[in-house]
Amino acid sequence: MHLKKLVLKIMAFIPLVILLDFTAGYLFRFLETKALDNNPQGMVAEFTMWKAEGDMMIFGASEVRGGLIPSLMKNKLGISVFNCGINSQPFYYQYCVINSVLERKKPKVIIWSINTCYLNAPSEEDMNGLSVLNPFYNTNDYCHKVINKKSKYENLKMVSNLYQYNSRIFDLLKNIISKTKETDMGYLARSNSGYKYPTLIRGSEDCGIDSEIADSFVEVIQKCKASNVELILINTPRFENIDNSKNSCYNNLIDICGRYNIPLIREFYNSPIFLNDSTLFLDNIHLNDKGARLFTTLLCDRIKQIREMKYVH
Amino acid sequence: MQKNEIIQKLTLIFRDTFCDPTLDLRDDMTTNDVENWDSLTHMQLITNVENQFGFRFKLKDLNKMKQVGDMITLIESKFDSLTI
Amino acid sequence: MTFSSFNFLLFFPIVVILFNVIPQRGRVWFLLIASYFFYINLMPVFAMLLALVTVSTYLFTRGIANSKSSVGKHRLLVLGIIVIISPLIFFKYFSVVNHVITALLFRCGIHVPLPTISFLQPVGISFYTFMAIGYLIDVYNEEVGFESSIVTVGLFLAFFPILLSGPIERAGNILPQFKKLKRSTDYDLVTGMKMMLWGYFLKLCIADRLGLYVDLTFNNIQTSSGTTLLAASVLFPFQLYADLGGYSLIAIGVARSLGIIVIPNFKRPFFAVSMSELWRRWHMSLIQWLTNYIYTPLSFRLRRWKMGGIVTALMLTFIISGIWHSAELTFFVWGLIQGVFLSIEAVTQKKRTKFKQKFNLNKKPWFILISCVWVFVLFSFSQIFARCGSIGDAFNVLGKILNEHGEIKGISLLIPALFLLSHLLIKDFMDEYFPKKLLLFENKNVIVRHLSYAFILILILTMGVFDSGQFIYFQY
Repeated sequence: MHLKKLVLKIMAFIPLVILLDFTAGYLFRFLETKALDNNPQGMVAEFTMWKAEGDMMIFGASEVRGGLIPSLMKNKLGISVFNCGINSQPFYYQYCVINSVLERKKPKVIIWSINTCYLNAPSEEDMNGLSVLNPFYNTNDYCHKVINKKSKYENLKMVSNLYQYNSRIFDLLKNIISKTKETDMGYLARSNSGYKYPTLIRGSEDCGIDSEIADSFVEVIQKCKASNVELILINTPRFENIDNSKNSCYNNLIDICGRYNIPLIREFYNSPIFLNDSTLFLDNIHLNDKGARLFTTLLCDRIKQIREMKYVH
Repeated sequence: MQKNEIIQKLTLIFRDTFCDPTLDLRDDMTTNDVENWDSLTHMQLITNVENQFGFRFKLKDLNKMKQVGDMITLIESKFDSLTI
Repeated sequence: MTFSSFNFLLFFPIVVILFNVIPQRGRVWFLLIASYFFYINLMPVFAMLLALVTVSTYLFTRGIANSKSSVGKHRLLVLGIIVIISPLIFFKYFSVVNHVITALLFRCGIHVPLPTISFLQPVGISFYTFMAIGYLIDVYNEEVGFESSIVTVGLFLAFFPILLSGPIERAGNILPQFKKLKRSTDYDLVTGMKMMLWGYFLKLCIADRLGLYVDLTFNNIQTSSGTTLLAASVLFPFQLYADLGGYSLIAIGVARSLGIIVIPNFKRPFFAVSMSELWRRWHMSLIQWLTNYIYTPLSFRLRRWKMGGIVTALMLTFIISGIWHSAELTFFVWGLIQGVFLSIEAVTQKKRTKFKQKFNLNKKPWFILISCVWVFVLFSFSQIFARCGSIGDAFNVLGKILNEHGEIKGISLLIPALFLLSHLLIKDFMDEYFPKKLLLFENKNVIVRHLSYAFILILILTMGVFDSGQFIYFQY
């Protein structure tokens, strides 16, 4: 029966694929180190997980990547600062990297930029974006746990090295071949093209709260405390006038901060200093370089106050 | 009309419709065998055949003609039914 | 589930194995149940609609077959077509018709708030409706005999490989195969899986990667430069080819694994030297359906109008094709444009043929190249209308392409897409002009074959677009 021959052929094909998959894993990891050496500013997740350090480390998404200037903060606060902000990554990414950094090298202070709907359930796009943590799936428990949340069969799919590095090859080659603009300790300055400034948005917000995320949020807070790391949460300025008084997610967040005695610096989020000047903003959510300078200065003053109060008590 | 006559006349019609003066008909010939013979030019062929032979096809006839041999047989039958 | 969901990777081998294990007389039932299971997993409610259309089709074909008078047959045919096509018209065009009626009344000064219901479209309805109508007409024309087993008819309309996106099969081709379902031979399985592998490569690596670039550009027309829009417009037809072509190949491959031969849907469309040839190579099953059931009867009835009849039939056929794709005005315009192109070709056909023959142009490579490029330009021009959300947008894009230039953006999205597309272009080129010269999947050497499969599989795993999250790696 020819089917027997076919089954044998398939059985011969499978080991070939497994071998190639295995080899590919080594190849990709090799390419990764090369890419990280050549262009660390293009490999934000890897750099954060493996190399980033500073007495003060900043975590968050694009709003903080272009919103807080480490060199300025170093001058004002007298400690080394690194900005681990990364574009388009909401809660679960930060959960993974903060926990991992705490295990690798404890900074003195962690600044974590969050938004008013931070504890809301992630969208499919949010979860898909976690692929940036695929390289750490096999070696990091936090990443392993979070990536498996992506879909029902994610743990099966991640068995394959080739799948783990899906689409990464382009990223890696790009970072090996070219260098992007160097950042200021992780800060990437943004400027408006053609003097186009945003217009103010108004409205109100009320996001739901995802209990798994809320629990994981508390987990990070507790880990910071256990590691003796000072955690400060911030809301970056936005060019929007949103009423969050009935926002259950935000209110919950404020509650949690109160409960665990974590300072949440939110006065700059909708302060007139920012809301009256559109030239400080790239768009409704992000500050530009001019805005970042102002925000960094103001925030440093506020941080100094908080830290002084701590020492007094 | 005799079959030879039909084939002769049909060959001329094919040559004219498809702009191929060297075309020779075979029973098993289909649209795949002749350049320019597609559903567009097929309708022109049909009209030319009707005009030259002096009868009208039915829609059902079209579906029955899968190759040239079928067309020849069909034309023959039209003339048979006329003479009978 | 769809072909690109992980569930399907589990569903497919189970179905193939069970199909080959159960006795012959149970196979039709098994495939029917598997097909409904497949459909229910995607859209449970609309499985009922599919069943209803199946029962209607069965009853009307039985009526036509048993009817003694030609008047009776004709009446049943017309009624049957109306009944079967009603759900399609309702679901697809209700909101458009509603909108048009409301607008017309408004123009006359009547403000009547008609109920606006928005609902999901039943997936696959365009395909199985056309298959049902085709079968009905074939029974009427005595092209195909009435199928007395409702299970077989049910399977014909619900057959899971072709249910969602075709190819649109004909009863005469597929019902006989359902009547004698044999075990898959090893050749069936290997051929089928090879087609699936290549199909997945086309869809996940080429179509979806090109789609990232095309979508980004067309969703941001205002901020995209003319050059970027030009690049996206040139790539869009390739995306469509890889998308529907890939999906069709997967469908044909899945069916082939079960020993069932389904008609092909694409035949290297970009090597067509005229628009009419393009339409003999692009979405072939749809064109064959339209030709058999709309163009031929229509042009036949209008043949006394000579060229006028052909042009009318062409315009109507392609307008129907346009609105079959979507109820949007842009697709109507797209269909109209196709009709115009083909009418021009029909009218000038004799002159062009004589001209080409005079200089023996058909054999000259440079002429073939120019013809292919020209056809491609016309086709991508028409596709701009299909891609844009509105006629205004389409004209905006055309304006920008012609007037604005500027930098091309998104190189980091473009390069991987072009790299992957090149595989398809090379393969098609070799298959078209040098068949049998570059054999990889078909190579006699088993090592070459296995390495080729492995290579494509690797490309799929490392470069296929599995989720929209890919986009975040590449920002403008």
